[in-house]
Amino acid sequence: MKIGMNSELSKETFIGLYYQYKEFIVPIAAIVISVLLIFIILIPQISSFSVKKAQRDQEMVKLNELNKVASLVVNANQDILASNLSLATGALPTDKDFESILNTMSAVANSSNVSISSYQFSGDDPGLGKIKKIPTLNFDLNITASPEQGIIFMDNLYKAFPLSEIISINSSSNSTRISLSFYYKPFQPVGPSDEISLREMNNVESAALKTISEWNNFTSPDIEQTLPASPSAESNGPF
Amino acid sequence: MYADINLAIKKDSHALQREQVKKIRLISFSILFLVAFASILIFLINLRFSVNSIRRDQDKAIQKITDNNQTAARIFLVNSRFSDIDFILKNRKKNNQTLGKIISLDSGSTQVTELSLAENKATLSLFATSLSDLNDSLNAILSSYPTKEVSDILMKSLRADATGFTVKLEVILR
Repeated sequence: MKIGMNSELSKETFIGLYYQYKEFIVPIAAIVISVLLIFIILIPQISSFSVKKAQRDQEMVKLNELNKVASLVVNANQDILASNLSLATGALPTDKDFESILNTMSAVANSSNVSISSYQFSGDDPGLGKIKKIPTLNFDLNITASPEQGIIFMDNLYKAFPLSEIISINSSSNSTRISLSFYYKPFQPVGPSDEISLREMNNVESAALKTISEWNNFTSPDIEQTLPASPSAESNGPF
Repeated sequence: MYADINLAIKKDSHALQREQVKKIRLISFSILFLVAFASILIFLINLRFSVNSIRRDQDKAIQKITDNNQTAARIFLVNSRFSDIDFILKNRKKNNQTLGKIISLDSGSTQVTELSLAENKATLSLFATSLSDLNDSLNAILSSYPTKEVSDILMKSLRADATGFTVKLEVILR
């Protein structure tokens, strides 16, 4: 009886309160929704904003690099590129190019006013030259030349393709024996996981291009033949 | 009279409550509007800063490079080859220049009769008909060294015969 009265009272109280405060229900609901929005959407979005911005900046840097490379590749002058590659592979052949080496030695001897009396291939040991990491073809050369003419021959050889290095010289009266190495370097196969950088020629490379452009080019390799057919292609040198 | 007064108060209280409700409603809707607006704004900003759109642009750039893979390969080969060429040019022995410089310093009346170069040592023999000419050449050579290519020049021997004088020099290269 007491409980029934109480529940009736509560119901009446509740209805009374409802009618008294019904004007406030909608504004309170709006405030509750606002609070929920702040906690569910606003705060997480704001807190993730800095992380997303950092991620975006990182990706933007990559995109800029890729766009730069794409622009470089699309706008590259094919003729200049082919000419530079031909020059570079002339100076540093991709294989054991005996023909161009012999042509060069002969042409340099002519331009230095000396004559080659004999020459001998002495192996392809890369340890002879100062630079160990690039392979060489080594020759012993006997020329009919005085010591001064021998030095002129060496000077001219240093400004001719392929790149060479004098290992030793022994000269007396009219006979000079020279041991020299010619550098060559096969194209390195590039695997899918290898990182390569495509960029404009840097100052060092441009300087090398400028230097060798001024030299005598006694060889003119056909560049399409020197390009490997695939990254796994083996060098097709005489050995 | 009191009743009239009470009624006036009641009327004012109702008006005040209505005014309060109006204010609360205005404030709550303003807050809701601001929060909703800010949520939409931040959502749009995040969408604008989405990495997905950048990744799509990256894919487009990669596709461009892939379409020109022959050119890309050539650029890579040219750059790496010139880099190797520069390395060789800078690092190969330039003893011919050093020896050429030494020989160019002689007085003109001396003659190089022997020359040998091996490892870091060069030996040369200078011949002159008079000791004075030989002395001039030696002075010219010795006064120009040491340099960054030559650490030392040693006079190994001096020989005289009926035709003239021969001096043997040992050049220690760095």
